[in-house]
Amino acid sequence: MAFRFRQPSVLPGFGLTMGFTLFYMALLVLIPLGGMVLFTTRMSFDDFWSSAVTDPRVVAAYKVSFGASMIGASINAVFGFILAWVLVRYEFPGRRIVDSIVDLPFALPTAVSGIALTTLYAHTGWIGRWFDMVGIKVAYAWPGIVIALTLIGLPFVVRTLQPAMEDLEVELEEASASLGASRWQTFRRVILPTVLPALLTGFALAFARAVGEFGSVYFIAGNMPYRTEIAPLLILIRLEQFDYLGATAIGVVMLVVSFVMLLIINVLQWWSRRFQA
Amino acid sequence: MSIEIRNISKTFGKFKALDDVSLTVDAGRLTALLGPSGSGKTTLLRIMAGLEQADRGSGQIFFHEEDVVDTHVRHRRVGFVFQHYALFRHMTVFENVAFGMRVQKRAARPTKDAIKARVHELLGLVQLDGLSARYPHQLSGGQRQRVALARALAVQPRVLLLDEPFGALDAKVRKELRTWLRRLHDEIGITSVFVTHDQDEALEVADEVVVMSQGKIEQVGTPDDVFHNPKTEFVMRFLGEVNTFHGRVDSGGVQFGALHASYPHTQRKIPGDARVFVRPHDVTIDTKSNGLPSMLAKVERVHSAGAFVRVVLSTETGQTLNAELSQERFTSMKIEIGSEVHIRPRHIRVFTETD
Repeated sequence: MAFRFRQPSVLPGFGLTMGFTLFYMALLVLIPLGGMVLFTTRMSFDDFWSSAVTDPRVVAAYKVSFGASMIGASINAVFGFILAWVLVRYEFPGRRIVDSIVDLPFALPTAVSGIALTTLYAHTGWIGRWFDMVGIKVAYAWPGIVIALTLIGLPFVVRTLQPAMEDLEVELEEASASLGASRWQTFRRVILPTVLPALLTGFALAFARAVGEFGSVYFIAGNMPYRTEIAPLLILIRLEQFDYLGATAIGVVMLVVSFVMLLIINVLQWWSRRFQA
Repeated sequence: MSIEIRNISKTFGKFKALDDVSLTVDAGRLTALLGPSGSGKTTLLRIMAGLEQADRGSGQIFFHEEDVVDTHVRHRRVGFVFQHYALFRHMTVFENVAFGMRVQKRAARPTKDAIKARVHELLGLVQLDGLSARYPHQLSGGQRQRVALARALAVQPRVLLLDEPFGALDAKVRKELRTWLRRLHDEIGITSVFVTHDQDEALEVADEVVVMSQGKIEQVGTPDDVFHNPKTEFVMRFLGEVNTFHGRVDSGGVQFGALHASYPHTQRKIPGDARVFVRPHDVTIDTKSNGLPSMLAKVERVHSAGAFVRVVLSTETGQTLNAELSQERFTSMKIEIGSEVHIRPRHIRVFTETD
């Protein structure tokens, strides 16, 4: 089919809406990010490379940020799946309440959830003390960061999975069972592939949100250089030292890495949607 | 393989979907479960398949002589076809049909080549062999349902169960597909049960029709049998259009309107209320009285577009009647709207309270 810009439609204005879309994207996303990239060209390439790519403290921070975000998003993919499944498939008292609690991490100022988690998971806290007894340090350590990033990513996975699961007819499971499939085979071969596009979207959103997260991690991480320092915090530290260029350089690296990762997830998603109209 | 249902009941909350139902489906037959919505036909089919459990302690289900009431759907080896196809949308036509074979335990699983051969054989049977690489969304409704059928047959089921298999299709495809299903059944001869609320479908396709109402079986018989010899008023009303008269029976006869007919079925001495049913094609219309007992009626409307001409009449008592006559007879009689005619039922069925 030949590509045509002007498609007849009841609603007016491909020209108008497309123009608006470009303007809006430029104003909100492209110009600020482009400006950021442009700003770093004031640095020499060697300076940029040594301060934002090879500096061991920065590299350690990248590892914490992207690593913990990846783990957090993965945890959400598994448990968010179960949560969404229960909310969609079963009718139980208090379902609506649980359903609205899922949104709380959206609404809560992240600093508040950070402080709450820290209090709970510190070695004197309600939950932290039990971990402390078996020698696991949660707050002010890696696990704490993962918990904070899991919390803020949860709604993304649940909310993107719910509509996809509502579309999943019970008949699909019944058909699978009548053809001799076990429960696990039905899950693995029928349910999972059908909702995979939505799961990947949820995963990508949770991951992206976690990479950018600052407030809650700031309180629970302990922020020890080389160990529990996240990249956004490092940017803040550089800003406080009036090293604007250095801060921007880290920002640009994060931007590139995030973009590449989201691109990969998008390709996966496109592949997993190959069967859709 | 024959199916035997013995005393099966099913309640959903307070609703009794099936009330002590017993039924035998002979091996190799194509049987229709026919009834209005809420009659329990789908529930009965789902219980046969094992997708629904009968009430605790109620009855048994036999496949040939094996009691399968506690056999999980996974192991019951039934082919089930759903109204809305329930195809796996992330799989191609080929993968859909192969699914049942691919999920078998390693020891029982056919080889890759055997699976491939079987899938193509089945797709040939349902006349879709060229489309094996398509995804379900690229197929028409009729094609999807044929894929679903091939998928169900792939596991060599003991019985084939179809839940309103043509319900989601448009009228023309529906007709084509039901003739096709009949031919397919003659070819493969698997014991099959299908659910429908469409009496034409049941009467045209099935070897045997099971008419259900309110969780009970009203009548079981061949299409001819249930159509021409309805045992209950419900079956009479459900299988085609009827005109109803209120009448009274006495010894050996029935009186309705101005007419009296002999009614040897009852030997009652005490007169009682009765309902007299006449199918529209059993109503004779005459423009003049020919001496035979008849009823006077006025022509209200005429629908002549169709194989038969339908005439809507109203009797002296204000009752509306439908009659059906051939185009030839209609043209020769010159029936006009508003004219008075004499009507005579050729064939009646009488049901009294005790029937």
